[in-house]
Amino acid sequence: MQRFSDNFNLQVAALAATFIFSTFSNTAAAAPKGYFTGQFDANFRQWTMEPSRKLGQNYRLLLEQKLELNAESQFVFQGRGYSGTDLVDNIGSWDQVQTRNLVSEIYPQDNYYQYKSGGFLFRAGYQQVVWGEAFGLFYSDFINPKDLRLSPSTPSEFSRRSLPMLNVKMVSSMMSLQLLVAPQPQYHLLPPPTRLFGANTLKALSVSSIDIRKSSAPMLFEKTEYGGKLGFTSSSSDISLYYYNYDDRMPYYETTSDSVFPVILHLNEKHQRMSSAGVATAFEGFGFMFRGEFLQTQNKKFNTIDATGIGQFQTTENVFVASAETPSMNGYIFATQFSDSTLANNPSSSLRTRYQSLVSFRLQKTLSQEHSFEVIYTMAPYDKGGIISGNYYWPRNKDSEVRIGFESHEGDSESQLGRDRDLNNFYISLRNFFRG
Amino acid sequence: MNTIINSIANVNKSLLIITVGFILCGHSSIAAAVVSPKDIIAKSDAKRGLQESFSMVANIEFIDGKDVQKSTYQIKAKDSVTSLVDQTAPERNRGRRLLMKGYDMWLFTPNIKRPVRVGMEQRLTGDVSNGDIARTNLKDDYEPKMEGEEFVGKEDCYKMLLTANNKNVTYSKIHIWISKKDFAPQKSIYYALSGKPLKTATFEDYKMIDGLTRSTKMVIRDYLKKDRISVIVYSKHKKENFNDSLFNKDQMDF
Repeated sequence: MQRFSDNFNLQVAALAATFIFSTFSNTAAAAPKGYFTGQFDANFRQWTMEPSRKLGQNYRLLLEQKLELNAESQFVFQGRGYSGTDLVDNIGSWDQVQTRNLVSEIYPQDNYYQYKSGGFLFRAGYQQVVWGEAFGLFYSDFINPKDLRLSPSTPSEFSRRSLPMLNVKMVSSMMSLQLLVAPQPQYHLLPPPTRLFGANTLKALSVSSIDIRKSSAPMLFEKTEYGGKLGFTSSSSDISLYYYNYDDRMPYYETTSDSVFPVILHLNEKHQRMSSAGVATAFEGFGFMFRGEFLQTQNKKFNTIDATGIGQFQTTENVFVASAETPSMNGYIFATQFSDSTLANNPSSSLRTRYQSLVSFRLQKTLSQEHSFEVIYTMAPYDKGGIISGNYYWPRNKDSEVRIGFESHEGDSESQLGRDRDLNNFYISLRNFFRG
Repeated sequence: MNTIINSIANVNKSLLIITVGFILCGHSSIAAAVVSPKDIIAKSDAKRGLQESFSMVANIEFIDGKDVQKSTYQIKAKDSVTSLVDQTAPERNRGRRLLMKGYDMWLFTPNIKRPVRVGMEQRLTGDVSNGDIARTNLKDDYEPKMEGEEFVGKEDCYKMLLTANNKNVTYSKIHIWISKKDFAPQKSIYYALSGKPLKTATFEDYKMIDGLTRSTKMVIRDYLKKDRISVIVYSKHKKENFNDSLFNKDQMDF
């Protein structure tokens, strides 16, 4: 509900604009066409490590109304509903295992007007923009905020939140230029502070309570974001260059004057203004598909924590990703990916390590009748954490599908991937599609 | 990524059929005196109708034993090697798009929200590959050789062996039977790189469309699994001019 109210004014404006525009358009010769579609998901999850309430479930509903005014123009309205017990943000006390209380939310997703004529494309409103080429680890998917309270195995289509933007593209047969302006930054939805700071770290400092005071959303045009992407396509290869100036979707924290460090912490959530520039490529060679990304983010802020207090430092982060996929062999495809995130400087009290490398392996197989399965293993050599996940995709009929899967984390409770061990689970997901 | 895998599988299975149709269905109704294998293939290529921009709809039925799956695609083709395919049914796959330009291929799915380049080999689906037949330039991709003359039903045909002349094509060989009367393809057999036959195709329901006689129905059978059959019906052919930008991957999310 909160997310809905945050965006309510813009939504009302969009609806009003739609009404005016569609009324006006009705006077034109071509009658608008409307399409109503939806998806309903039911997910049932069994946690394997939590001591209580091991069975979780959630239901998601996505409704979309598309209004095509003519061949060039259309409106899209989407709303999402969520009701479930698997969000990781319902804690009775910060240092206890979360009780998985029922949470219900509705929020707008894609709501925009789109115009498309020849090589000129324009879209205004709430939308999603995804850059980059890597699989699994979407470092370059930094524009839209995510719901990080969800399990890591949650598909990005559920965790990504739409952002109000003006999106202009000029496309030719081989090149494209995209310009983005986002008048109102929005931020990740976060899990409880134990996951952000590390439970052991906080316990070692004898912290008894943490209270995080979220910053209010900026006003329209108060902290306007902007950027763009230049894309080139040639035979056997793609390359894109991009830049974006924006508020960090992740917060850093400042202690308030009424904190009693280290026992009682009152933290103000802040979002650092920063810029990211990157290059991504995908190309074929020797029958393999290679993908690569380099992303540099300047002015990024991280927290430090030690016996003297909670502090911050500012640095540059460089991310490098490279992956290779084999050709299909009897339906099997194997892929491996290496990624590394390095900070230009990193004090010893930093909450993250200076070098964070991940190595991933993925095996997928396409079976008959559209069935398929996929297993991904990712390990972090620097802290010996890891995660393995798998799922089986089973289309039932033209309107529904079933997914069965699992995810299992390993490693120390302070490691990047191991800290989510209490999220180990297996699940079954039923999805139904409908059209009005 | 699983969505991508499934999309590739689904779309490619269909594209196999669609593009086989593109390649082999169209033909001239004019009898030819030319008998050179190269000329026959070139004439066949030139008269498929894909040399010009047009749109059409493809309805496909996959029959695998008792299981029947139906899907529908809206196809926008600029020429014989450039096309954009939108999946419109079944509902769970609506919105998936596949762009092909030459030997390059990208897939867009509504949930991933970005086009993903997929390799020629990734177009394989199950026991079927469609990499090379996504193109309609048989004359450029294969070296034709006349193997003789045979009847296919009542149709007197040239029997030709096409051998791949570049590494980008997935099939090493294609056997094709082309009508001597009007260059209409009657059937074909596709071979894997190992030399093993994979699929047979037959071409049916010839109709006059936009000045050219075309097959509007094609039936593809798995060479080994005889109960795996794909039936494709083409309809709603329409000449259309498309902007070049429509065939850039960076417009696939609009």
